[in-house]
Amino acid sequence: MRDSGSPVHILLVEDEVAHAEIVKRNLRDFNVANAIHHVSDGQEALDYLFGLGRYTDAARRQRPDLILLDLRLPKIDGIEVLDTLKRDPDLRAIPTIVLTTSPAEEDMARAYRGGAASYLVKPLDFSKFTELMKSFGFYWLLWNRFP
Amino acid sequence: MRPASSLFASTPPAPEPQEAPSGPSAFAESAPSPRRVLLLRRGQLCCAGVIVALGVVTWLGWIFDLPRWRGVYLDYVPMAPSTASFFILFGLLLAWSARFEGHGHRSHRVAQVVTLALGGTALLLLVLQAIGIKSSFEHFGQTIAGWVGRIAIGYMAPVTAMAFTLASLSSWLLLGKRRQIWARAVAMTAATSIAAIALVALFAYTHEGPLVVDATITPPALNTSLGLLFLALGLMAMAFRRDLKQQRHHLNDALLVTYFLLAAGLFAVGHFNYQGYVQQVKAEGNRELYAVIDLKVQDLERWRKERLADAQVFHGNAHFTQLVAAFLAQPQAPALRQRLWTWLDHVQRAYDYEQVWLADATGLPLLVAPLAPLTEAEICLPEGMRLSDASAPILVDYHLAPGNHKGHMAVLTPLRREGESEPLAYLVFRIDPAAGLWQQVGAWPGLSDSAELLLGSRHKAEMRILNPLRFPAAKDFDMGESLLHQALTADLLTATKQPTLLEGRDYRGVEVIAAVRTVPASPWFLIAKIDREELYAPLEARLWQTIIMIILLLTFSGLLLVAIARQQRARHLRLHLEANAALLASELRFKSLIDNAPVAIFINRNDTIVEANQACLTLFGADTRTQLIGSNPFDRFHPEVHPWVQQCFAAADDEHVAKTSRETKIIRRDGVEVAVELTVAPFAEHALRAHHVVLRDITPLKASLNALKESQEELHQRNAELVRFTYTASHDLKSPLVTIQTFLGYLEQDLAREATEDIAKDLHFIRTAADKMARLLEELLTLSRVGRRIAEEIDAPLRAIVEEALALVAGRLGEAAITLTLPSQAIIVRGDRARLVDLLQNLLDNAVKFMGEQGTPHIEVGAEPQAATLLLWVRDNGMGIEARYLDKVFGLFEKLDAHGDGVGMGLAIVRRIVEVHGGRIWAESAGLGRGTTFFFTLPRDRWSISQTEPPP
Repeated sequence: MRDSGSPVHILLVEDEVAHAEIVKRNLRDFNVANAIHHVSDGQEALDYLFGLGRYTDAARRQRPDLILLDLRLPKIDGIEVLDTLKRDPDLRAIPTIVLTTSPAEEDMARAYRGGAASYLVKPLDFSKFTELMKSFGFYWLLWNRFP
Repeated sequence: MRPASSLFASTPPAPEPQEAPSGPSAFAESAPSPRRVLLLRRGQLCCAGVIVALGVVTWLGWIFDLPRWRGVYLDYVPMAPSTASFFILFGLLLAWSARFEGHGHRSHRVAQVVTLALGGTALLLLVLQAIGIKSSFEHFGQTIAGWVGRIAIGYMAPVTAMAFTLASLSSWLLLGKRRQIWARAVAMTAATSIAAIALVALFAYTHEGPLVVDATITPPALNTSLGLLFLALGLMAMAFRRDLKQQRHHLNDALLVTYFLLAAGLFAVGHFNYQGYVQQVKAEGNRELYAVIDLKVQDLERWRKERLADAQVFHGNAHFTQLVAAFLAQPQAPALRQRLWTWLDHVQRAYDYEQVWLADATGLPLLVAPLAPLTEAEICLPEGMRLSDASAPILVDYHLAPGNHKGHMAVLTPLRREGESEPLAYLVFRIDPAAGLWQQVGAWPGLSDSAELLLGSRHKAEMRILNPLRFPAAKDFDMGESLLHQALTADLLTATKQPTLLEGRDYRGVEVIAAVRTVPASPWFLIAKIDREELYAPLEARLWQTIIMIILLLTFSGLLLVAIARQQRARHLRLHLEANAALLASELRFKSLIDNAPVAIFINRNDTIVEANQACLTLFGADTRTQLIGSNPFDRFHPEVHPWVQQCFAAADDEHVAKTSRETKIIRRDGVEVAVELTVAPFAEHALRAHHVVLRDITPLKASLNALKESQEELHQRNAELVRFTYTASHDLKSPLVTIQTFLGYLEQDLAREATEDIAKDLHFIRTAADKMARLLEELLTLSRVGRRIAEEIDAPLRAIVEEALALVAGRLGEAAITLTLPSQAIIVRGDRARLVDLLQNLLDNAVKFMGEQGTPHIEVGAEPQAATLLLWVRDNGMGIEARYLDKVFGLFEKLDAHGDGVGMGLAIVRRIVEVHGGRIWAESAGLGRGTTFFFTLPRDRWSISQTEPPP
């Protein structure tokens, strides 16, 4: 049983620096203890998850409790990352939330089919984005329990 | 159908040598129509039925004594039992032929035997008739006796016998197996002759009484004539049926029949014309003879009256009687004697008597004028007659005086005194007929060689001719025996009968025609006779005329019919030739049609190519027809499609339907495979299994289909690309917008908090995002400007382009070592110079950007002409690209490095430019850290080796 005080590790896979910054800020504002690791492409995300490439050293990585995944990523596409990690028996337990600018139906369908737990579309409006992140924080960081 | 070989032949076939058509309709059907056969058989059966019926009815008429059944009319000759039997047998024969001819041999023999038997019997009867023998065998046991006119009934007419002979001949020829034309012609001729005979006879029956040529020869009965007609028709049907296959005979037959009917008609017409003439002549003769005879009778009547009148003068003359009485009292008185003699003399001289006698009551002659010795014997009277027989003046008929061979007539007059019954004297006027009477009687008014008037006298049964005969009598002439005498006896007994001419023989034994009249109030009769030959002389002339006319007409019509036949034959021949020519022309047309058809057509028969058209030769790669014709079509089909093709052929046979396959392969003679579309159809040719195969070269079709597919795929690709492009663009444009919006928000917050550091950060993010958007849009614009086509084509030296690109990236290149590997000859490149510079610039930029940790950065730009293309490359020794990303780098908006400041469009633009110039671009890399080489090509029409530029 996890200690309620221990931080929730989130892997943020996002290629836009600015967007990553937004997420980080929002979640920081939340005052919920969480540790966010940001990777900017699909390849790095998988390296981190599987302990390859730069992250062979176990110290540098940690199994995240939650994954925030953008779909449009260089090198390896978000959907592919999703598929890959969901194939792994251990990693697939990690709830993966897709956070992307694309509202396209196909992307949504593919994401859910791939095993995404949720699909979030980044709103253009600043206040809405804040709202979203707040809700996200509440739900996932407060209400949701991680093993 | 004409053999297919002629359809494709390069030269038209020589026209078939025409078999000389023996009839005008050589151009005729090849098979007899069953309806016609049936019709003829039915007709034949019908005729047979009629004939048999006639025979049976007649037989019943004979058996049960029903005159109407055997002779129709009582005045007409009936059918003989022999004729009836013949009809029955012939009828059965015809019926047998209609039903069974052609089946079974045994009955055939029987039929032939029967025919021969009938023929033989008929011939025998004919011969017997000709001789004049009528055998009672003909009566077949029936008791027959009777006459119609002068003909004994119950015997077959000779004409009928002849007809039966012909019928036997005809049927025997037809029953035989021989197929010679003459046999049939003879049979037809015989049949038509019978028909002609029958028709003439029937015609005669309808026209006037029985056709009697000679009163003693039996004519054919009415029902016989009818039966003969049907017999003839039956035989004709048999003849027609026999040779239906060769319809060429028909016109000949028709003409034959026409000719015979014409002949029959002419004969009939001639005959009746002649008969009419005969009647006319007879009537005229009748008139003439009777006219003459009536005239003479009148004359004689008058003469007799005159003579009696002469006597009457004296008979009632009282004065004269007194004179005579006085004389009788004084026979010696000369004066009285003289007076009386003068009277007598006067009478004698005036009335031209031979002698005039005065005799007393006892018969003693007293006076005679002219003077002559008086003897009792001088007054000669016929034997048994006495002067006292005359109580009134009478004419004494011709008599011979005893001892005197001279014949006389006399007028005997008793002289009486008034009141006395006993005559006191007699006057005898002696007439010498030879003096004038004979001449008067015998003078024929008019010229005639044989006409004669005979004066005859009848006493009870005795008759004799008084006047001298014109001709010397036959030695054995005995009037009592002469037929004429017989006729006279009969006729004179019936004096009230209509004046008819008598026919018989006269005293010479010559046949004469005579008119007879009695002279009223006398025992005399008058015969006016004329030789039959003379009377009917014009008839002979007329007969000859008629015969010659008939012959001429027949000949003429025969020639006419022959001319018609020849003309018909020529016409049919011409039509036949024309039809042949038309057929040939049509075939040539079709042949050229097939031969020039754009698809390959060949005829397959028993796995052999028998015909092929021009296109087929081209398709199979043959030069001449002989290379294909006779070969197996399966040699030309690719082995792997053989089963399918065989299926097609089999299907065509079974279902008689053209079968089109989708695609088949054939192998040309030079081994090249060609894709074709195959169609197989059954080809009807003399019921042989043949196929009509059409091959269509679908290589160009396939090529276009492929090209279409390719362009479709390209279109798909482009479409997909467009969709992805739109999607990506909107997505990527949206991203910086999100940033801007969000950080503006944060900025607001931070401004309120006056957190300067955060403000700076926020502004940075906003600016970056905006820049990114700007760049994105610019690159999109560039990409669209590259477009699909080259805007302007410029020839530029390659070296110049490369140097320009290098100049543009000079700053970024920095210390990187640049190598140029260009060929010795100068190369001219044609295309959009600006874009080509862009291209190289982009590649160089990339090379610089992805140099990585490389200490000694080195970039090489090279070009090398290959066979058709110009190969160019930009090589660096930077960080390289992982193998799996080598293709992806060219994708739109693909960035291998998220931190890089590019928008990810560069290589996409580069690829577009290369593609627009018709080239290909790809990347090669040994791996991460091992550098990258970007290769691209330009096609042959875009580069050339310059002749004028000096080598670098």
